[in-house]
Amino acid sequence: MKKRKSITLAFTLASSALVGVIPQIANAGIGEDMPAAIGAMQEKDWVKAKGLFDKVIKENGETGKGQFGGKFGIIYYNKGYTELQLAKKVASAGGDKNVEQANKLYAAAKESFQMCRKFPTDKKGENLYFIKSLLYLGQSEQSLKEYKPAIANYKKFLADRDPDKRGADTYHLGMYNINMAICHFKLEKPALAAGLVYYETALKNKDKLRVPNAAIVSAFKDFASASIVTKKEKMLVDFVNNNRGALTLDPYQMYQFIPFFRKYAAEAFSKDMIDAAFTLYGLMPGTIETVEDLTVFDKDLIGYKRSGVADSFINRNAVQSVGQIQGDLKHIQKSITAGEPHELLALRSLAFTHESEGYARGAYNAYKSLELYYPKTKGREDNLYNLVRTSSLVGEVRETEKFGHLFLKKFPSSKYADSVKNMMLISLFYSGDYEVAYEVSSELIDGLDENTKPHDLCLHVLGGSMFYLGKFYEADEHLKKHVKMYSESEYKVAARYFVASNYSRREDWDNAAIYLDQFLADYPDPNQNIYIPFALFDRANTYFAEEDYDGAIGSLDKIEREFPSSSVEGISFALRGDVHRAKGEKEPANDYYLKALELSKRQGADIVTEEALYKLVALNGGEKAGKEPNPNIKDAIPYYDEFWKDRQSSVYKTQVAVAGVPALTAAGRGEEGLSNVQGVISEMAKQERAPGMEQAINTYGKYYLQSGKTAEQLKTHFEDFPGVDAGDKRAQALLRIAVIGVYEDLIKDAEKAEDQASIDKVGLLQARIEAMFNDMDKRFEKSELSDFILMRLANFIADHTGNPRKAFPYYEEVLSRNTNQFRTQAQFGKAGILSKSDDSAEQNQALETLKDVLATKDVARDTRERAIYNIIEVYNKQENWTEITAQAILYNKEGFSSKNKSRVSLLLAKSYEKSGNKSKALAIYAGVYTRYKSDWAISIPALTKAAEFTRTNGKAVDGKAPKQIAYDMAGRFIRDSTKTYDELKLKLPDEVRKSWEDLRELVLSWESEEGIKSLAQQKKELETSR
Amino acid sequence: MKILKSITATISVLALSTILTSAQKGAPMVSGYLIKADGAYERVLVMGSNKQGNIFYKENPNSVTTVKAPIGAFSAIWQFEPADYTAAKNLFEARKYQEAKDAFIALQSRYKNYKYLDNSYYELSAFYEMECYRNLQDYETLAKKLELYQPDKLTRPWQVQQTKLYRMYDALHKKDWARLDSLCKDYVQDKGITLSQRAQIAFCQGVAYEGLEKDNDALNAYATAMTADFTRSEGIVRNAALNSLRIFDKDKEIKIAKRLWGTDEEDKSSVGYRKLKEANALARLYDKAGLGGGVQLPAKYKEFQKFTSEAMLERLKKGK
Repeated sequence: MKKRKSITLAFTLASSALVGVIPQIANAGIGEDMPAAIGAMQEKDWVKAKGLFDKVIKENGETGKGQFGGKFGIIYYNKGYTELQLAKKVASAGGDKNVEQANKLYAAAKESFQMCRKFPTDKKGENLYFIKSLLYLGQSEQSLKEYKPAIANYKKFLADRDPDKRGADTYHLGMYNINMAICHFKLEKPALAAGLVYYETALKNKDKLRVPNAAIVSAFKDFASASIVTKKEKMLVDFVNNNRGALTLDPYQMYQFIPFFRKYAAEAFSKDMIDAAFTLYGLMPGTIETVEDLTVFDKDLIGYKRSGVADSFINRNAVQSVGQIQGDLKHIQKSITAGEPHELLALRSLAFTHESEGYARGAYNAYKSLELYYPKTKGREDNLYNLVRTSSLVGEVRETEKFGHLFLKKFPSSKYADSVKNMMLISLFYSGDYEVAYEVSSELIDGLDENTKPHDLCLHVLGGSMFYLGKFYEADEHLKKHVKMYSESEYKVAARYFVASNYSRREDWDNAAIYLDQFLADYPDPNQNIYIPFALFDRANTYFAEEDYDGAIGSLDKIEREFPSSSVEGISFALRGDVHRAKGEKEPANDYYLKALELSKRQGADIVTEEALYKLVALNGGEKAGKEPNPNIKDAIPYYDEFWKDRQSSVYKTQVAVAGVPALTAAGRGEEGLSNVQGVISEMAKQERAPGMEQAINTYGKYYLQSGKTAEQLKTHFEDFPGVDAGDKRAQALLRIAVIGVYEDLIKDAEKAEDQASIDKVGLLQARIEAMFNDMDKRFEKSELSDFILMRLANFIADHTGNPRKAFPYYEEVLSRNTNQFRTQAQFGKAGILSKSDDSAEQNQALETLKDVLATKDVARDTRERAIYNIIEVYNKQENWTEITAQAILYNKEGFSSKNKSRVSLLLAKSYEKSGNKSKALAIYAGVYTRYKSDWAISIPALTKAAEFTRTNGKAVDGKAPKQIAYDMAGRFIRDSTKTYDELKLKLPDEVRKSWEDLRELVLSWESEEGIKSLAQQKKELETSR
Repeated sequence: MKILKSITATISVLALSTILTSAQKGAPMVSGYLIKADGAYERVLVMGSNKQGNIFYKENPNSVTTVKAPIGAFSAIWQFEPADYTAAKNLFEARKYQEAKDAFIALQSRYKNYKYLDNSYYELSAFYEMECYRNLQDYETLAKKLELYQPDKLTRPWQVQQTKLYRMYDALHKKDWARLDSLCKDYVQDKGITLSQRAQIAFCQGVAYEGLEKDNDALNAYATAMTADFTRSEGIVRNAALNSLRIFDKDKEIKIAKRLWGTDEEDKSSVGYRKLKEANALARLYDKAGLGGGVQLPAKYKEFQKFTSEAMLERLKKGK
């Protein structure tokens, strides 16, 4: 506040009374000086007036009483009044010197009023102000902070004055009460209750007594200060709540008191009087209202140029200083420009309070307001840092990330920068927002020096986020690097757990077992290792995958006994149920699912509850118990009903709907079961991704047919499936695929019978399937279909139509998507078509595609086998013998045990043959024939080649010529296989039948050669020799 | 126009008071200044205005002549605050909104002839009548009043802005959460809004989020409402705190955390436990920081105060 308004104003000058004071017979000095002094008072020339009064007192003081009696006291009264006014004027200028000077003047005024009291009315003259001087004596003492005597004199004034007397004893009752209140508040031991009596009198009669608002607020400051000193928080807060109307001034008036409210609020705050602190802050008007209010006064009332511009005006019982208005307006505008409006302190204090009381959310939102509305403040760095910090505390991790980035951008060299980075990473990671933790750590990691603490944390978060996001293969490198680089890190236990657990997530069960066991052995103390139950759970899962059920139970048992309240307890029960179920132990399986159910319900772990209910439905609701019908199938129904009643939004809804159908059917509620599956299908039809939809549709189809409906009825029903409309393309396609699946099953059944009707049926069904695929090809945009449907369509086109190349767009659509499930299949599909091309460029494309498959990170072993095999076949088509040799050797070296192995060996032999290495070729052909004798597609070509090479390149053995040896090999095969051949020849593939017949022709032709002893001859000779 | 002497401090309180007092008797007369662009001004008693754009005034209380002049002839017409308006405003500031509302309605009737003047006490009374409805949460009447209201004569931008914000309360009253959400998101972008308006917007946003079943967002919006104007808007602060506690009270995870509190199964890392600590902190803060503005915390929420963690108890002890 620039200028404190006087609260001890003298309201009347009573100049008329002074006229009578001047003695008519006075000496020339006093006779001239007194009128001049009164004139100066009227002109408010207090300096001049005081000089004249001092002179009069000096010249007449000793004789005054004798000469003028009581009247002389009036001169002291006016001198005191003048000194009082002068003191106020000097004090209002501010500064230590002025305050010191003002105090001297107050002291002089006090002395003058005391002197006045020495001149009671007597016969010589009346002292009109003998009593009134008590009032001003009190004011002087009040100004000198002598509150106790001030109170006494105020009281005496009231006690001595004649209440009926008007004139000189008139006083401002409102201000009297205000001053009495202030003196009581400011006593060394504040008398709050006594002061409040006066203060509330003034407040209640504010208008009647014309109490200036400024005086009310000023007294309130003193009350607030005293309340804080005496720790009377409730008294202060109640007072404000009861008198808010009187205390709340217009913003333009209130602004000048803001420094006091801030000061006392801060004091209250420091004394933990939080309610009082915010009650005081709450009296401050906001910046915007204040500046607008001041502007209205400045613009509309005092902003016009005119002569004799006013220095004050009156509003709401009070004189308002124009200088104050203009000064306040400039001051507040300056604070806005500087970005430091007065409410900042209150907002910061409030943020601090909310946080220190544990309501970090309040602090977070207060800091957010500070950042949003006060970005220019010098304290922005602290505010923004606190925003990042508190957002992290309340788990608003996206905001931590957002404002963290903003902080690092605005204050890159801040002392908080590292802390902000850490908070971004830690809060994102430990709140489970792994997507963003991954993004942020990926972004930060390259900018951090290795072997530093920030890098340690960042690498931990990066690897850990990838782990939790299911990027198990990509995570491996980072997790292992962390373990290697930061063996003493504070995250070392977590890092070791991630590495070990990551093996189990990748289903690398051998390594998972080793690493998990090692981890548990290295960190066995649960006080140091919070991951023990998790590792035990992973270990149990590993045992379970390896069908070591006892091992699994051992680990799960440990969790149950030693970590009964761990967060994996519920899922451990569920897994144990799975283990017992796999062991065929239905009862304990049921018990553990029930344990999981009971615990999860108590803990509110919905997912586990739903999983347990599903598993109980599946366990109890199977159609068969062994090979017999399940006698207790209806036991599943209570779980089904419980799930269906309360768990409609569960992720297990589809599974439960599907698993429950047999039990409901058995209970005569089959229609309801199918209806629920139907509902699930129609719900999933609206979802972007619904992984269980195919299974649900198939189950629905199965039980629909079981209910006596035909495949054609199913087709019609599925074409207009309830709840699936024209827009649900994916569901429509799946429904059609399901019908195709039914047709395919019917074909398999029909193919078992060999009657004409069945053959006709197969033809009809195949035609229908083809028609449906063609219809789907036309009906659906590729972008509308799931990968699964696309693959079904593509494979059908590739395998069953005359133009397999039409499958390309489907494969390409799958490959263009950022999904992995069908990617490899699509690559194989595409390569399969290309490899059949006669165009070498397309064959090379096929090779490239297959090599891409091999280059895929962590490609599965069976996929690798298939890719290498297909590469060998393409090279075979290209007659690239060198590459066939290389790839086939690689294939064999890998130790694949696929049905393709025989074919690969055959092609290896062929490549040696074509490369001119006939001896190797012979050895392999012979070996292939021996090993795969029953697989005629392989063994006949191998035998043919082996026999031919033996004839041309073989050596005599035991006197038997190579020609004879070759003939014997081939001839024996033909002799031994003729009966089988005759039986199967109609069913044999053309090329196999032809190869057998060609070999027979060869044998017959060799047999007719000279020097060849036929098998018949050999038999005869043998019999003869016996 | 008579050129008067300067508006100086020589005008005593008593003198003006006399004029104001006489202005209260019978037909209203509002003490004011008519100020021309060249700085010439005249102190008068303003008697009213008409829609043809004229002002009526007397040069002194005893004058028998009422002067008529075009409003546009003056650069500014300053009207000092009459005592009856001050009294109504005091009721408003004392949060006696029902009484204040009646007073402002009466003032509009009394000062209806002033309605064509900027910032007239008719206009201000109409504005504060609506503010009373807002504070009384009588949003239906507020909406009706707003239909006929144009803030053309208000000269303080925050008041004009406030009349725009009333649309939020209409949406709130009609439980049109999507519209309320959209309005709040629009208004909050405006950096010219006052602290109280920020609190109002945040509160309405919280209600909208609650209606839209976005409880976490609602809690954040209510926390903003509680802090935006450092508890000046006591009604908003109280309701924001109570609404937050209502959200906590119905939270399933908190119910579980309460049930497991102090048992072997208590999970201090669970979301429910964290939220329960928040609810506890807010319930304590309600009392300590006076969020209720004198209204006691309902017993069902008071129960949250029992769930103060050992760590917090220790911290509070140290703080003291």
